[in-house]
Amino acid sequence: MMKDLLIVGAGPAGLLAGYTAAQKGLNVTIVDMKRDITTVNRACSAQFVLDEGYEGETLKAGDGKLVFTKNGFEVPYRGKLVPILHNYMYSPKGHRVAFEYEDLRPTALKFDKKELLRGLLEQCEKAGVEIRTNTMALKGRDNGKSVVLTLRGDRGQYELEAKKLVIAEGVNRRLTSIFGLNKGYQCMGIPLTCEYTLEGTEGIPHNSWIQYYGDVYHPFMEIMVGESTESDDALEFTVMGLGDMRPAAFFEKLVKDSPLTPNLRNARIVQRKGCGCCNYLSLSKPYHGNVLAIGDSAAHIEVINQGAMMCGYHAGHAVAEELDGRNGFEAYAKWWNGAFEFNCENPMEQLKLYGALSIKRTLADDEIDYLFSMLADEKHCGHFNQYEVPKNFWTDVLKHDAEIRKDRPALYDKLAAIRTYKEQGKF
Amino acid sequence: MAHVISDECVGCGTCATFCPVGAISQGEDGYYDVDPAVCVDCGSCEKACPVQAIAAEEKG
Repeated sequence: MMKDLLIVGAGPAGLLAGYTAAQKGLNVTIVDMKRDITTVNRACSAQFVLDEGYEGETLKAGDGKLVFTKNGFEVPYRGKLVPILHNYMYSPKGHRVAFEYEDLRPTALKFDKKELLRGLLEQCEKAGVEIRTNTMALKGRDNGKSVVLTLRGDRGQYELEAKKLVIAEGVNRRLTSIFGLNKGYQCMGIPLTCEYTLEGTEGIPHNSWIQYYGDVYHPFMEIMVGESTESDDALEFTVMGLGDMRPAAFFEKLVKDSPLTPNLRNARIVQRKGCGCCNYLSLSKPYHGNVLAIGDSAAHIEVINQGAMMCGYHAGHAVAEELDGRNGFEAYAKWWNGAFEFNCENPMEQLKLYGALSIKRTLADDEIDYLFSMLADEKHCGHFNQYEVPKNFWTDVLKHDAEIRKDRPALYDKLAAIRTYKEQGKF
Repeated sequence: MAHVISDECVGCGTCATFCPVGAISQGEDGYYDVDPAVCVDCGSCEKACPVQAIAAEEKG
C-alpha cells in the first residue's frame, strides 16, 4: 500500500515531521540507518539556546516539556537540564571575556539528547508512525505522482512508495543530491569533529560554554568546552580538524602541551563521539516535486536541535497541505527563508566576523591576549547564539578603537574589515 | 579489496552517510562495518572519519 509520507532520518527533525503529519491523519513511515535511534554517538553540543527571538522563536523549558512559544507547539522532554550561565572566551594567557546576564539567568540549557529522542520517538509511536530502524535509503526517484525509495534493511533490499518524501538525513546531503535538490551547491570542505567527555578536570568552570582561542590551543579553530549530562564532574571537550590534520592529534597536544595541561593532568576520557560534515550553503529552495529537505539536510552548518524540531513541525503541516491540494512546500520554504539567520544574511560575511578569531585566523596570540585583556573586566551582553556573540564581541572591541590605534597600529589595520562592517550597519 | 573499519570506531555513523554505494551499516554492537562485496574502494569514508578508524585493506 502506498504511504502518504516517507521520512528518511529519525533525528529531531524527522521525528517531529512524522508526529505532526500523523496527527493530521497521514500514514507515515520513518526509516533510519541506526539500530537504536536514541543512542547518540555523533558529536553534538546538545544545548537549548534561550535567546529571545533566536531562529524566530523564544524557547521555554521545564515541567517535562519544551514549549516553542512563537511557533505554537510543544514537545515532551523529561531528561536532565543543566543551566548554562556563562559564555566564556579565553585568550592564550587566560584573559577571560564573559558574556552573561547581570542576574545570571541561564542563557542556554544543556540537555540529554538520548532523552530528547526517547520522548520524540514515544510520541511518534503513540501517534501510529511506523519506524524502520537499521534501514538505509540507497536511492530513489520521483515519478511525478509519487516517490519510490530503494531501501536495505532487515528484510533485505526492497522498494517503498509514498506520495511525499521528507529528507531529514542530516548535513551530508546524499539523498538530497540524488533527488536534485543540491544541484549547484558545492561541498566547501569536511570539518572533522571529536568530542571527548572528560572526568577529573581541575579548575575549568562548570555551567558554562567556553571557547579557547589561540595557536597555543589549536592552530585554526577554537577549543570548545561545555557541560555534560553524564555526571556532575564531567565536561565535554570539542576539538576540530580538517583533512590530514586530525582532531585526535590536536587533543593530544591540548592535554600534553598547552595552557590547559595543568587542568587536564588527572583527567580521564569517559566517552568519545565524532562527526564529519560536508559544509554547504543553505538551500534557498528546499523542495522539488514531491520531495522536501528539512533540518541540517538543507542548512548552512546547522539548525541545532531546536531548529530541527521547528523544521519538522512545519514540514508535517506542509505535507498535509500538499496532500490537501494546497502549496504547502512553498509555504514551508517561505518560513524556512525567514526563520534562520543563515538565510537572512550573507553567510560569508558572518564567517568573516567569526573568522578573525578562529577559521582562517588573522590574529596572533599576543593580539588575542591584548584584545581579551581590554574586555576582561567589562560586562558583556548575555546572548548565547553563534550569530549574536561575534557581533557583540566586535562591537565591544570597537569601543576601544582609539586606544588600539595608538597602542597597536598593525592590529588596528587588521580590524579594518570588521570596522567597515560596523560602519555599514551590518552589525 | 575493500575498506575496513578498526576498533577505533566510535559509532558516529559519519562513514555510512558518505558512502556512495550504501556499503556501510551499523552492526549489532553499535559500531559500523563495511560490506566488502559492495564497497567500491572510493575512500570517501576514510576521508570523513573523524577518528581515523578506516583504511584500505592491506593486500594479504
